[in-house]
Amino acid sequence: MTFSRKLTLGILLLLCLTLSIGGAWTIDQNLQAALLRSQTQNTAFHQRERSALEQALRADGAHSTVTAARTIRSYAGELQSSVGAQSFCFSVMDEQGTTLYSSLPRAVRYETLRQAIAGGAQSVTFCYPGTSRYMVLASPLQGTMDGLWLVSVYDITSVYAERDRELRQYLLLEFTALVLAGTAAAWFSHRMTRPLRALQSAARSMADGAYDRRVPACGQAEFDALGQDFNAMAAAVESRMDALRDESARQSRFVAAFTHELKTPMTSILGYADLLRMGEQPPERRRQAADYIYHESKRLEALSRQMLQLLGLQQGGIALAPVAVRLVFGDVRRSLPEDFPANLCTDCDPDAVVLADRILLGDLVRNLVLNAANANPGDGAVHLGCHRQGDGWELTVTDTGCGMAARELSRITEPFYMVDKSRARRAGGSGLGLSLCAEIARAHGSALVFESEPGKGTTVRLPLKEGRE
Amino acid sequence: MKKGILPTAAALLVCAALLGVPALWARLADARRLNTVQTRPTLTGALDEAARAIPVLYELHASASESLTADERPEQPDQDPAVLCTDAAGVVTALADAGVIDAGEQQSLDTLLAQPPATAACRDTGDCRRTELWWYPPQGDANGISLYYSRQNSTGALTDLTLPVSGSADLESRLRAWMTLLGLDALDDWTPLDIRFAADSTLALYSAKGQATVYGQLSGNYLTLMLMKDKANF
Repeated sequence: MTFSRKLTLGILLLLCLTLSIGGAWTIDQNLQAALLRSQTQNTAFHQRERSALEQALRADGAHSTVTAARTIRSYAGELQSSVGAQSFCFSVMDEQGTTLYSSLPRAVRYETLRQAIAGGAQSVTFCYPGTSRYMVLASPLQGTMDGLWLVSVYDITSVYAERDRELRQYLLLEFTALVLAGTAAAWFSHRMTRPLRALQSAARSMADGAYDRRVPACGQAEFDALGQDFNAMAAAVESRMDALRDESARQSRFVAAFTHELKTPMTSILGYADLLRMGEQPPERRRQAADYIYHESKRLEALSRQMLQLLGLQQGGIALAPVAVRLVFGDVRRSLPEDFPANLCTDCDPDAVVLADRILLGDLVRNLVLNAANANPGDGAVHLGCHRQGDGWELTVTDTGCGMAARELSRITEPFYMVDKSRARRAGGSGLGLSLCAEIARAHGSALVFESEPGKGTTVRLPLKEGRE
Repeated sequence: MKKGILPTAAALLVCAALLGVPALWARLADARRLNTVQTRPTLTGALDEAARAIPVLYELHASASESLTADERPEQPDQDPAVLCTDAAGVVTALADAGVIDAGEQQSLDTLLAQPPATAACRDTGDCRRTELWWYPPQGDANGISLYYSRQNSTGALTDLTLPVSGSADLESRLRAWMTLLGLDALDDWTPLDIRFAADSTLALYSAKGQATVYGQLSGNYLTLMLMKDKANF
């Protein structure tokens, strides 16, 4: 069952219960008030008739049952002729239950009269013969003869008829109120739960892949807050999905590039191996083939080594220790090949000590320096520096070479991504160098920052933590 | 969708059943009313059943005629003073037995009643019979000594009396004793009335149940006690 229907039915049930109990109580109170008025009025009638009858008995000096019965009949006759037979119905009985006179309706049973007498002079009893309703009052007659009781019966059917009319009227009123309230409750609950349905629709859309789906504000504070939370969740999911999608694309590019990088040397190796297998070749050609096979195999070996190093950095941490940067720069300078095409200019603060792994930091700087040299710097120099930056130090590698476009910068640390593939291959690059550098920087709790402008050069910055205590 | 039909139908059924609650309640209340005896409402100004059971009060209210003043009462001719004195002696005895007068007062009154009265009269109003006796005093006092009382014809109760007293008993005790003699002490709502112009010892009590006032006065060695209908204004 939907929430709106539950709400509607709940309101209806509550209203119905309240109206029914309230109506029952109100109608009963009305009846009691009407009965009390009737009792007061009839008690006054009864007392008056009792006094009148006692006067008549006293006046006639009725001291026996026979004379009393005669007097009462005479009195009743006068009463009927003056006010009508239906106005005052009464019976006179003695203590033994013998009826001296009765003008009561037949429907009123003898037991009822005895019950009224047994109730005493202060009581009121009721009898409901058929559809009629009667109030019975009994009082002893005093004065001349003991043991006579006047029993008066008053028709109160109209009081109950009024109560029944109220019941019918109230039933109609209650039914109308329930129909109207039910309609209003259904409309209200449907309107109130509209934001929930919008939320449900949005959730289903998201499940179907529409991560950009959002719920609009509805103007109700609670639902607006829920909608905002839902939208925040949807935004987070969308962002995460975008990240996963990008990661998946990177993985695909990585696999494709890796395959390509494997295939290129393997093609050369296979070609030259096949050439050697075909038969005797001139010595010069044989040596050239063997050189190709050797160099391509070396490239493959370097590729696999770098891959292992990259995976090792991605999977495990490194131990950091205080390292003097000038020592690292010395290591770099010594490791550069003899045919290094540029002039390396260093500007290092002699007090610079950073928290690092000396060998890995040396590899990182060496890679950056080699890349800078391959960028054909206009002044033929690669500038290597280390300066104070806040609480730590900042290593910089700057060249005035060809530079890179902004769109390239975001991808240059991806494995096998090369801005200029032919130039990189010529320089013996595998496309994993900057990826390794980025991983080494990450292992040091830092990140590489590239600033480049095509035709003007590139600066790579690496913030590092202070190595001194 | 189908899952919601059954609870919905059940809820609507409950609503429909609840619509019948007022009618059901009314029927149950009718049945309860039929089987119980209710108390009759009290009517303002009506005589209480307890008061009706007191003969003197019942007769007081049942009497058709209004009280007449002494002057309006017709005097009955040919009354024997000796008979009236004998009746008065019975009244004195009853009052002494009830504690309205003490033994010394009774003896004084008996001595007085043994003498022939200067004047003796009896007047009948239909409901009551009033006896009036008057003596000249031995010292020749111009005012003399008098004794009056009224008896209800049907019950013989003394509803009005004036007689000479000399004892030390206070008015309230005499009044209470007289009320006990009449059976008026059966009512529990006698409350004192304010009397604006009370020169001597005066006390008046009113009973709403009995719709009657009792009045007592001690003035000039005479005790007056009266029972009146309704609430008297003094």
